[in-house]
Amino acid sequence: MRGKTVLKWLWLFLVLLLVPISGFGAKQEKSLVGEEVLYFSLPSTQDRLISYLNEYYGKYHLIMTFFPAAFTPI
Amino acid sequence: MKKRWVLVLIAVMVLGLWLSGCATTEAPKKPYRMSPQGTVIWNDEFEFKPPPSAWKIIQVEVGGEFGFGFLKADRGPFPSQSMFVYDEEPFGCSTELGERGGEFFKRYLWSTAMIADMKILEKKNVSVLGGEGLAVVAEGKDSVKKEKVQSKVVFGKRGDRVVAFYLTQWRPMDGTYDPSAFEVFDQFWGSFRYLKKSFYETIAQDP
Amino acid sequence: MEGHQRNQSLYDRFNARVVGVSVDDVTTLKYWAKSLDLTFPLLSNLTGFLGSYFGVGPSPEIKGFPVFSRKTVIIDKRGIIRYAKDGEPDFKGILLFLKQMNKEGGKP
Repeated sequence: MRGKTVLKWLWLFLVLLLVPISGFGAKQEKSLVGEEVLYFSLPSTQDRLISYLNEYYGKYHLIMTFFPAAFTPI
Repeated sequence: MKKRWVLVLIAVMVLGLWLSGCATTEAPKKPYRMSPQGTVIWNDEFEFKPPPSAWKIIQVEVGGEFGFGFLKADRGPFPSQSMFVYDEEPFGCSTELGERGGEFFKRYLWSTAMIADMKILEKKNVSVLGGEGLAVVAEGKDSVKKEKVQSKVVFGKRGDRVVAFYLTQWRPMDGTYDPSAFEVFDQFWGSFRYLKKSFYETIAQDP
Repeated sequence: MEGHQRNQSLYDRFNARVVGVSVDDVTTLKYWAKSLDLTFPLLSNLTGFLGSYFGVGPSPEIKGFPVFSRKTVIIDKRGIIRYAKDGEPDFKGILLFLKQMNKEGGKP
């Protein structure tokens, strides 16, 4: 009886050790690199609507930095 | 019985595998060495005269507010301490020293109440890093916490970009500043020189 | 954002432009841009659709308020996403990537 309890605990221990290294529950994020950008038009601090197609497409590479909020360190 | 031992063996192997990813206890490599002339060579990039032994090195990981510097606990009640640093990317964006100084002091000590009551005491042109520079002395006071800080900031140029050295000396409101720390700081930035081009100088030059 | 501002002349050299994007309204962004003396645009994405596309969905930093998490992407002239990095911008990495991209003529 005692032996069976020890075995049960050993199995549980093994399962608990294996779960993090198996990646179970880990989010699989789709890589963006290689994808086509979503064309956008958004209001800007330069008093005009900025359209990706009009301002950057075919002209410049575009660096876009997403940030949580103004007046926070970045 | 045999089954139990097999399970124990598997458990030990899995545990070993799990722990093998843990960090080792290898000592971190020092970022500096001493030259035969007694100067400090930092990351084979900077050279400067070392401060007295009472000053301890502080180093921030990439992305912090400054690169590296020296800190000394001073006599007296909290917050008596002095610190000076070299900063490759001081607050602000302008490449013109006077303008950059203005931008810098808008954000300097932004996380403390000193920023609300920062006064410029002195401003003068200096020679630093083999070129033009600007030295600014300022003082901030926090009347709620009853603390004050005196700071000397020296702006210089590395290529096109503005760099800065700054000393901050913290005291309780009725404390006295120690001018010897400012002398040590002047010696630091006065002796500072670059041993190689910066990343930005190199990337701007290459085709 | 100051890092981007400092690197503007280098971005120009590599035929690149920069924008910042958040869910803030334009007025707030304007005040912030002015305080940092930014000359490049900050875009206001109130609905967050662009952030969703780039996977920067609600950040755990501010509970209960759907803001973007930090991420920098580089899109080449042909509209293809060539670089994506979570967290604070790696300014040196961005410049090295732009330089490489320019050398390759912008081809993916």
